Amino acid sequence: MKPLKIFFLAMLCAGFGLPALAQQQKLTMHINYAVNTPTGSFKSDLVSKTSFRGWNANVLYGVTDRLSLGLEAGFNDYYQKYPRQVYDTKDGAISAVLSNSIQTVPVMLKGRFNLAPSGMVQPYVGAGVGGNFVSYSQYLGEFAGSKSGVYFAASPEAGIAIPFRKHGASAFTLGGRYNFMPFSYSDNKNLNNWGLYAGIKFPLK
Amino acid sequence: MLTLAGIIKHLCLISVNNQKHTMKQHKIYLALTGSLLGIVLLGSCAKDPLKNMTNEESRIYITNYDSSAHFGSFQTYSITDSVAVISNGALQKRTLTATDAAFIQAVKDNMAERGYQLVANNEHPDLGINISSVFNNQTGVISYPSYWGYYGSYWDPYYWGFGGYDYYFPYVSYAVYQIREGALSIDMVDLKDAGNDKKIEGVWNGLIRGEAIFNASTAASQVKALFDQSPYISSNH
Repeated sequence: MKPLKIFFLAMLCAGFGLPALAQQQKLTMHINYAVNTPTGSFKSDLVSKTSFRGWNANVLYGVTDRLSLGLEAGFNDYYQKYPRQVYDTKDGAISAVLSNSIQTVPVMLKGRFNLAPSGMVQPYVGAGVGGNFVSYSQYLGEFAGSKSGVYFAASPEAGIAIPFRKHGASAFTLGGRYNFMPFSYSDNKNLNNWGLYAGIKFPLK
Repeated sequence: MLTLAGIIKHLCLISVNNQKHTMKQHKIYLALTGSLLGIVLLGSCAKDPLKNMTNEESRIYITNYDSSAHFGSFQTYSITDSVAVISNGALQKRTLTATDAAFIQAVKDNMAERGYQLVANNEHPDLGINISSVFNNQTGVISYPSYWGYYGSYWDPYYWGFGGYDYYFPYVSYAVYQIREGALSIDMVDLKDAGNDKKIEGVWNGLIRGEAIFNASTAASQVKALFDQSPYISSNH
């Protein structure tokens, strides 16, 4: 849990100094803790458990007071261990405890549209498109086969930002997104998942 | 980790308390905090499957067999009185430790349960069973295709009364793995049909890999796992 503690500590600390900055900042950074839940064949074939080990961060430039564009990077770790089971092979069988370990690191171009730029609560919608660095290991007992590569990723989102002060540039953010993540391993074709995130946004410039 | 937390805290306190700091410095601290945070999370968030695994869970039991063999056609078997220790493709020695004895006994128990009669190796057994401990630090596969390559030099067919014969294993399956560990291999060979072509055909192999395999107290359960997933091994089959 240490990384999480550091995360929250950093969020708390970052929040203290922010109100002074305020006012129509052009360049903002967003750091979020993320929880993601596999869907579809990702859920049924590889990992059904929700990942509580994730984050995402982005830097957005305010093109207008509503539209901002930038870059986003994220990380999620998915893991599940299945009880011992006998798997049939061509001329025999393997009895093993099977573990799937998957890490996704999407790096995307990001756009976000603020629906109420001067509101106390500012709803927004957005989308990201880019590449997804995937590392997948399947363990039979302690023996792993692995596959890694770069795949496509797209991620529509919606959320709210609640400024710490009226008209302030720093805010608490809370959002949800769907992550389209094509992948290919055996019969599995994607790592699609739902994600919830919460964090802060603060100005850089 | 604590040190890093300390640094972040320190940076934060500076940014909060020191009024002389410019806005620019303040922002740099924040960006730095974010970057450090990213590095920490990226590097330490992933759950390591190997650390979340007991010795029992680390083990895999692999069986391969000749699907054309009729296990019901065999009635008697004999088993070697020791275990061959094979390291990096070469026979090191034969041993009979308490663990070796436990594995041999476990095989005897399971064979008896499947209806096979134990006889001495010079009493023309239908099946011969060899047990080998395999240590290998250069393969990258779960089954050892290369393990059977020099099989005749580990277990001389002469022992079974077939001097000059070669072993032949018609099945080989494998999958890639990443780490090194010892294995216990049990091979069942067809002595009844060792005939004109001077080949002794392997009809079944059980391979155990993982942590803490060589343990007398778990030998019985490990061998049982191999037989449990091989229901076709039966004198009545």
